[in-house]
Amino acid sequence: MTAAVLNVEHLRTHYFTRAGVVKAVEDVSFEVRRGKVLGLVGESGSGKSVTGYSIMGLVDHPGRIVGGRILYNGTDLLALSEPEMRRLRGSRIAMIFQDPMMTLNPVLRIETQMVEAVLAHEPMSRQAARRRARDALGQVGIPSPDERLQAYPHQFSGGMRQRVVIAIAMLHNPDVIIADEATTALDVTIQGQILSEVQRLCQSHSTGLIWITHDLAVVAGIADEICVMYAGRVVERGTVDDVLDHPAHPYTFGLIGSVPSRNERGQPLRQIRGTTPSLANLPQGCAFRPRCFRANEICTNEPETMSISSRRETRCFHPLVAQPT
Amino acid sequence: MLSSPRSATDLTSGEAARAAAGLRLVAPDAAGPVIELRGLTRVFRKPLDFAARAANLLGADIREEVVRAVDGVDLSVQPGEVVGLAGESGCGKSTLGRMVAGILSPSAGDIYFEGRRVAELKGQARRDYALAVQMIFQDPYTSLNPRMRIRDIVGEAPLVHGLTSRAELKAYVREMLSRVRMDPQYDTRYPHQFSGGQRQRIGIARALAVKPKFIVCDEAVAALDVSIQAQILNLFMELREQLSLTYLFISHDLGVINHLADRVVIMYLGRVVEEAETDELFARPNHPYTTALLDEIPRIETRRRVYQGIKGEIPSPLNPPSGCYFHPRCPHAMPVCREVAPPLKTVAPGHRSACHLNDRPA
Amino acid sequence: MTDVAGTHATAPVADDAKWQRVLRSFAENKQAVFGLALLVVLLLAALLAPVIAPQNPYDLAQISFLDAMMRPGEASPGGILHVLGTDSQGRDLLSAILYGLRISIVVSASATLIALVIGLVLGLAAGYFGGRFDAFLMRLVDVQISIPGLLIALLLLVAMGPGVGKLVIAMVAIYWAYFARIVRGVALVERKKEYVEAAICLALPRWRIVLRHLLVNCLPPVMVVGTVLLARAVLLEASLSYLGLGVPVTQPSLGLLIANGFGYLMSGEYWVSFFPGVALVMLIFGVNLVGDHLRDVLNPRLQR
Repeated sequence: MTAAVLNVEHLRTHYFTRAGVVKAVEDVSFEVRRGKVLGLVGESGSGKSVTGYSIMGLVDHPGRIVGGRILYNGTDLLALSEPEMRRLRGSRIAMIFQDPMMTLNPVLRIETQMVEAVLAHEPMSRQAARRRARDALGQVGIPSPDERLQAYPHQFSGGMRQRVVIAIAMLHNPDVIIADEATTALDVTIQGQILSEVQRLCQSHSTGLIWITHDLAVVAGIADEICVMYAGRVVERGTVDDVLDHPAHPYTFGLIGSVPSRNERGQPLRQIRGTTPSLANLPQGCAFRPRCFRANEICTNEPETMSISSRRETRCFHPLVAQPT
Repeated sequence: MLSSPRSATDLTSGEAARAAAGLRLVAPDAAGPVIELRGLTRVFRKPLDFAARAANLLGADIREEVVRAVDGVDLSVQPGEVVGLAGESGCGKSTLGRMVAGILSPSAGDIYFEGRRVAELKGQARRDYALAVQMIFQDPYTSLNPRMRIRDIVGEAPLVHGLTSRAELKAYVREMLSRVRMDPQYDTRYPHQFSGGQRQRIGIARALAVKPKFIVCDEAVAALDVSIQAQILNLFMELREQLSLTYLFISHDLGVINHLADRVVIMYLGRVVEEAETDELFARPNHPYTTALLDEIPRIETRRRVYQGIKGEIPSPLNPPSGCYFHPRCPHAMPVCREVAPPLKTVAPGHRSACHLNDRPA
Repeated sequence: MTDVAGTHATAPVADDAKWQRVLRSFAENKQAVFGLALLVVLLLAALLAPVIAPQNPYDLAQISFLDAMMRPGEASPGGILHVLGTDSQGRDLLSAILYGLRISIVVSASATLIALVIGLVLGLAAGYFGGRFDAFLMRLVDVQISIPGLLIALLLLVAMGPGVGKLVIAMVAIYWAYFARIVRGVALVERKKEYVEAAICLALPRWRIVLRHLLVNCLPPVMVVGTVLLARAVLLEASLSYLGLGVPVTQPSLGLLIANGFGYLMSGEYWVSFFPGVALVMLIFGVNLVGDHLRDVLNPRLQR
């Protein structure tokens, strides 16, 4: 078993808005191991992206990390000063966003941006930095990287832009990459290409990957372990096969049933009733209670995370008995 | 509308199959397809502006940008059928949908509605067509007028077209809202007070309010969360049963198409490359592009797969490749593919594909 | 598997929450509240001028040359206390400012409003229908905006002669173009939105789509531009009156009052120009404060 490179323990990130405290991330724990992929799955407002931002130290006002620890190789990132954090960010821990233009500057050539990204963390000659940038572009499958270095971001297609961003993320061979809906905006065939690049790179560099997405099918294909988030909390955690084949939490069960799959064509999907709750106005106790088919009075209390087996947890009073779906 | 009595022998094989499978029978008054497209084409031109024309006078060679977004599409949709239209960005599926829904006019080719050429329809007949074909849009946040109450969003068109009276409007709107499983008492609210899924329901209620026969769903669930997407898909299927609706379901998501459609049409850069009954297409894809698309769909059953990815980018529709548009990315490309665009040919009953590989002697 | 209850679960939000939010955020901004208060006070003062002014400056019978150039705080033999002094014709300055404020506000506000309506109609038509009309209108707007407004107004007023009505016409001739351009831009964006496509799909009459769907969604940016242009209109009116091309001498606006006192500034008789100037600055300042905040509130990018 490979060692954990990143341990998130009881992370709590709250937003202090005029309307009240929004608990975007509440008591979230997981670990990321070298060369392994952790899928962080949830719908909008589940706190999956804020978890990513929290690890990167990119939580903006009015948000604040109010509790927990984020251990990177044993050091608590939350105890680091901003300069120390800046040294890690982009070199040891990198992030890929859904919109590549979050990372790329539209008015600078790719070369300028990549060379700067190299030099920000490693002193070397501009020549050497340029070579490093070119090799990185080649690695993510961009043809004629020498020429493409001279181009501006708008001269790339959406898929190619995302490749450039991945190349930038991989420049310093980071230990952890956080990808937030990185292929959501791409076409299926392009998504396949990007997933294959990311998979290959992370395995060959033994980088730990956190793949944040709403798409269970993508996670099924790429992840080793899955955390399912709902309303700011991890409601279920385990290996891909365990979680997807024997979901313990009713929400996971419903989510899997919501995915159209060819077995049940024409039949109604097993939908989850109701809508995602507003984080500012969560129901008392288990946040999933009003939508849950197993809920009863006990669910008005806050469920604790309980362990089902080794590396397998759920936060539910009525976990489903493990049986094949 | 003339209604002609139909006997069982009038049923096409597909309808008969559905009828046998216990599905609803087709609308009694339509003998042929509800919607038929013949050579439907839409060209977008960006004319040269003044600066470009001046530059051309000085010897520059700036060409007008011409995109054939939809290029000679033939398609017919039988009453009660759900036709899935799939393809990646730039394949023209949304443009096609907008032409069918009457939002865009075709550059060439014709749309036939219940056997009548739409371009020739005038007055009342034209209006009947316009109302009979409705559209559900992708973005629940821009598809509702933010400054109108739900009551007006849903009730405006039926009132204007005399489908209801001012006195009965409130009840009419409330009935529509109940039909899409919204609480009718929310009719005085504004769109921003609802979630994405609820807004999509309001959009559906707005379309249903003019009593359509044919609904074009343009990526209607793409912007929704998975659990909400399932609710809306279920609603579509329910409404199909209740109201005898016919759908053209446009989506990039083959999983959704597979779940919902009776027949699938695959488009690539404005052309139809393959068309077949859903089971047939998913079981025996013929066109290399379809094969590649099916291979790339992430599936919840497939774990830790090694993604291969088909090579190459989707070409720019401004400057499509010669011959078969897919040849630069196709693993089986032959010299002829560079030269000649392959026509759609029947490769099996009800299964058409546009690929030169089918012409090779077996 | 039906679940009526589920989809109804969302907690209701209050009706018209948007305008409440606009008002609330207005109330939370001290500058905006100050600007609004300033405007309200000035408007009330202008409205109630006949009631609160010590003197009717238009009534020649009440004005005496003997009272000319009294210092602020002096009382005339007739018993009126001239809080802000009098001008060279013996008019009580406070009264003249209150009446002048009326004229300034009426002229600039009506000019802005008429320009807004004209610009709205033309801009909507250009944005929705496009084509040659759009191209022609936008070139006209380009030309119009590239000529300084003051110059256009001067030329028009020289050709038409002075007068309050003609002043308004001249100002409308300048400002319609700004409204037309902004409305056309917004209409182009809104027209492509799916709710307009839905309206087309529902076979709604064109005029209905333009008026009921496009128009209301073009209004917020128009309101913002409206306040900016209102402030500029106040200033332009003052400039034109200062140059003697605006309002008649017998019914001075703020600009004309400032012009009247200009000759005395150097001799230490500052008040004749100074107090109308202060009133003008307060008016423009108030409009700008409100307009600034309106822009922040109505900017969709800053919402949520």
